[in-house]
Amino acid sequence: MTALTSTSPRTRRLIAIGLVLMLAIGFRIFDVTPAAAQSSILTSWSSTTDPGLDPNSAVWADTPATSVQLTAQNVTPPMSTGGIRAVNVRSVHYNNMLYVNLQWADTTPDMSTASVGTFADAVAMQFPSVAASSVPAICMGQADSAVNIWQWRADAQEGVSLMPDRGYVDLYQFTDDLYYPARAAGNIQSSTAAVQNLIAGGFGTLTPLNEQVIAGAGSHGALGWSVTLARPFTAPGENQPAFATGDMVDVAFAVWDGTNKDRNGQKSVSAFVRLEIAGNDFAAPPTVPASDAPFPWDTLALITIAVAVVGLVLAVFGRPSDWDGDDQPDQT
Amino acid sequence: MAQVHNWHLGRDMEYPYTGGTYDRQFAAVFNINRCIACQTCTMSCKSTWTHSPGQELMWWNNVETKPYGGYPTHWDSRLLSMLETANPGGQTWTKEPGPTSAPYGQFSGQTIFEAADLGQRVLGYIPEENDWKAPNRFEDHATGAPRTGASLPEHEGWFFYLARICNHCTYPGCLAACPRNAIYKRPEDGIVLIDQERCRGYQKCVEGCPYKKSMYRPTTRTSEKCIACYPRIEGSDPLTGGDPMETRCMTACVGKIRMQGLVNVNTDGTWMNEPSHPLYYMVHEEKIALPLYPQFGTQPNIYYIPPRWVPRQYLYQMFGPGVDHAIEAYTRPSRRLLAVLQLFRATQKIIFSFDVEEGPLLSEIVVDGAPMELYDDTAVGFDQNGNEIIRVKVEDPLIERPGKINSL
Ligand code: SF4
Ligand code: SF4
Ligand code: SF4
Repeated sequence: MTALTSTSPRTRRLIAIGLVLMLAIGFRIFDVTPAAAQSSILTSWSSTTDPGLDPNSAVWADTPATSVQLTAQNVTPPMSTGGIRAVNVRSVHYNNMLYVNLQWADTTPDMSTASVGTFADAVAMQFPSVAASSVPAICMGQADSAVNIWQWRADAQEGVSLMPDRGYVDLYQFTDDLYYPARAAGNIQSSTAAVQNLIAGGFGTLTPLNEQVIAGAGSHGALGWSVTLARPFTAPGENQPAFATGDMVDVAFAVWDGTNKDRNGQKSVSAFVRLEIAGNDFAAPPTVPASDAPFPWDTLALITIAVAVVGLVLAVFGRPSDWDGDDQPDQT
Repeated sequence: MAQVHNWHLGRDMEYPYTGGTYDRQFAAVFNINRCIACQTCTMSCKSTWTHSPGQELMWWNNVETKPYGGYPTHWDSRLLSMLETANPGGQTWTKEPGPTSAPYGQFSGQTIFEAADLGQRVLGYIPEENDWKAPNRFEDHATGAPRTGASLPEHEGWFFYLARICNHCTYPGCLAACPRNAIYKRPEDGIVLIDQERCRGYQKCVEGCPYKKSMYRPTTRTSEKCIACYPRIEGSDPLTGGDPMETRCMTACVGKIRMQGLVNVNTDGTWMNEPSHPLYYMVHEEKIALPLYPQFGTQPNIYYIPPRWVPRQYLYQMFGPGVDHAIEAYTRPSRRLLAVLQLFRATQKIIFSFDVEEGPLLSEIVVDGAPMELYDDTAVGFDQNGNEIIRVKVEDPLIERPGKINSL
């Protein structure tokens, strides 16, 4: 009796309850709060330690995450077929520097664009360029209300090979920048900057800003990517949001999966969510040494609710008539 | 989607932009009957524009042996089959040939724009790395060995050479597919270019160009394509003293199969009536040169005189319904056409108009069982200001060299 379809109704019910419990425990272990879509508020906690750009910094392990839901971009062509469902967002600020750590599940890292038809994994954050009472259009902003985009790309972090292994060539006579027109034109696409600071005011208008001031680094683990992006609170040029403790800023997220041939508008996107830059007088994020963890009351509460819900569902829809699964009326 | 007129299809069609904002169009006629696949054109382009790291697999000009060859591999049959899947049995032509706005009749099937998947602007695909690695695979492969010897109108075993560059299409698939307007069509000559400052390597143009003439370069992570040797078109090559000059691949053509020029176009993309323009004359008056796969819908601007010995069904698929007329008119050329054909590769400067000066009767020959008179007429080519730049006779002059011309 290995296949689920051949298990008894009772076993199936137990599996269902087990799954709910595992989910609840999983949320607790990974410290993830499922976001209630648009209304969710992310918090950038004040940190007493510099998280640095290392995506695996210990600071992130101790910072609560919010799971922001993503959906396929299907507003303008080329549209996405979907793929990445959620990104876990953590944020702290330290010494007037905003750090955001983004983690998402993707077991197939795409770090090279060295051959035709290959696309890199990437992630981006999008802010309204200037604070206003209403947010710009979620899709790349609009002409009178631009958005500032920070994009990290796995292939750029890997670097561009000048001499790709594409066959045997006796001699390249001309190899200075003139013979790489995109590089000669100063196209950031051809640079090795892992993070790009961009502006957009509508579809097809994405343009690099003069101030390339976003730092960032990514690292791929067994489950997926962890990427850290950082920028000082004060922006050096126009059309970029300034941050201050106590501020609420709007931010949206996008993730590209190279395996899915994601690029451009073919991506998974979130709605705008609110990011609160917690004041310095806020309590530091709960640091929870593993050995000294407080009793997980919230997990217990979740389990209780889950069991109650499952019980209710069974009571209403699935009156147990054959608990022992022997295909005979049960003895009472 | 906007509605634009596509005169190759004899009808309006859907296209993401309105187009029609340019005055002159880069165009050329390639005479397939003469190509010897020497690849001189291919090498002239390679040694000028694509010899640096990351461009190894790029052949902006290529010459492939049809029907099996293709660079990238099977580029045309793959797209044809995608269109057939999108519109089974519907990729057909109707109506009789009409005026300049519909010289080949009307295409009632779907173009790559009309057959696009939901959420996409263009139907296409990205060839894989390996597809670009064997540009001359199947060179000289015939469909079979003739048992009885070959004779027209159709050879039993056949192949032909198809020389290709970017078509600088009137309605480019590459441009339509680019989501960030990094591709533009120059108003002054209709040349289609990828802005290397704006390209972000999305390869939507590689996917959307039906002719697969937009290519990805991994060392810059952008796409590059044929630039129609625009400095030469602009006349900035010192050799012609400021006059517009034909491109590298055209001027290098050993088989003299190519003539390139600039034609004046109306806002709806049709050509202005210029009977003394050699390209207009061949495409619209004599109708001997036809667009490559017009059914794709991009209104390509390289026109081909189809090979005479190839099965007509194959040629209809490749060049549309104008094939029968084109082959007939080419096989028994009019007096004027025979003179114009002499202008191919007679000068590097772009010919904007021509004239034919009549000469004496050379001989009477028999073509397809009917008599034909050959005259030693002279074709004269003029530049854009009406100045004579070239003069060629139908019969090559016979020059007898004196026994001793110098110390040798
Ligand atoms: S140079 Fe001319 S003849 Fe030679 S392969 Fe090219 S098109 Fe054909
Ligand atoms: S042939 Fe291809 S690359 Fe050239 S203009 Fe047409 S669609 Fe664009
Ligand atoms: S027109 Fe110029 S750039 Fe284009 S294929 Fe010919 S030689 Fe190359």
